[in-house]
Amino acid sequence: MILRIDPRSATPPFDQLRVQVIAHIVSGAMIAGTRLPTVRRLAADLGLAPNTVARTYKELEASGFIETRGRAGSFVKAGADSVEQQALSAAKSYVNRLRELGVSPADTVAYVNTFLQG
Amino acid sequence: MLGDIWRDMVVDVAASTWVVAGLLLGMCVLLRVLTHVAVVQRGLVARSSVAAGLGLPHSLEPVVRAAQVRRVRGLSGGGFLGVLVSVVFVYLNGADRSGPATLFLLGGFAIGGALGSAIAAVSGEVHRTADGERVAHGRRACLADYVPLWERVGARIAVLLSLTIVGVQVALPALGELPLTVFPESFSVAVVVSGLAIAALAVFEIGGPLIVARPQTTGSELELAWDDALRSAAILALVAAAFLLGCFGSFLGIQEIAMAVRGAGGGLASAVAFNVFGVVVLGGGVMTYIRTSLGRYSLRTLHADEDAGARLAGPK
Repeated sequence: MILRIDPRSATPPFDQLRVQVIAHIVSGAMIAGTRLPTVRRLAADLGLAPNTVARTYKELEASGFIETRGRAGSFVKAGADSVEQQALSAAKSYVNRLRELGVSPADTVAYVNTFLQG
Repeated sequence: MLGDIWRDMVVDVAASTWVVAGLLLGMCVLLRVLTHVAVVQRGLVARSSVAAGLGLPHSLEPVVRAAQVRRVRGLSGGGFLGVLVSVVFVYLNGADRSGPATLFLLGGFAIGGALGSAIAAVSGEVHRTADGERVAHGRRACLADYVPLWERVGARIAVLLSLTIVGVQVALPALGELPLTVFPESFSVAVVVSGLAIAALAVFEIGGPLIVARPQTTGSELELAWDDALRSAAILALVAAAFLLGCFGSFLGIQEIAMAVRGAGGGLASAVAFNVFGVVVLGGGVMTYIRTSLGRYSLRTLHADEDAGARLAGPK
């Protein structure tokens, strides 16, 4: 399971990281008990400030996706069942279904916007 | 004072030892010189690509080439120093009068080479290779992701076995009317090799985690996979050095115990020949294994998701 950061993206690195970790957890790539890299190591690997990674971990912990076990580090939490996780799971099913139907990414987003505005 | 020691060394160390040392040192120099040849560099890169099972786009070629060249130079530099230290060691212990000095020189070359190779693997400057995307592992990588459990345990068992055999050697006088075959009563090659095995194991136990902990500043998944493959190869070299020396120490220890039990009569030459043959076969097997399995293990542990095979595919 790989984490990617695009420094040229309009999305802040903090958000990019958070969404990817959640996506990995929801998809089952990161199972409960998976040990996350240390804040310093991930920051060094991705060329981010340690505070950015620390903030991401804090957010993920607050959302119930991960837990920090003192010096042992951060781990994917067992049975995380937050609203955000369920929403992501639903979004993933939706995207997968539309991909199967051959709908383009732009149209996929457009359909969602149609319902949001309606 | 150093001048006196050097003069004594030149006289006291046997000519045969100098010849073997000269051959090994010459080989190290040759290796070093060859790394400057473009054809050799291309060969190194191509071979590592096949061994790692990873594709090699043009943008990555200089990075892999630099890493491989650094590794070979580390091996030759470490081997060179290892042989020099071994010659001093042979002089201080008089090993070329009462023991097979060639084995010391080969051991020094093996340990020095493995250490040099591992140090070179981590000594490269850590800098970001691209300004664009950055990638990292989503989970914490550990030593088990780079070296299989059975290899780590195998090296530890080999070293432990050689230590146990040395323990039996030390206890020989207490076990019966048998002569003590180790220092200070007599010069023991097995003890020295076992000591070197412990040193090699310590280097692996300390150096392995240090290699794993080094940041990975890569810009693509393929680049990350290459970095993992090179780390895995460096750690495997450390494990192999400890394993080989442990086995070597055990062979020699058993031989020395056998000689002590049945008296120091004949059979020494055949026993030494058997040991050299065993070590060559074992060493050859281990080196072949390392060469052919470069990175394949880390590919399975760290890049095992469904699509990774297609994304990273290289020569089969």
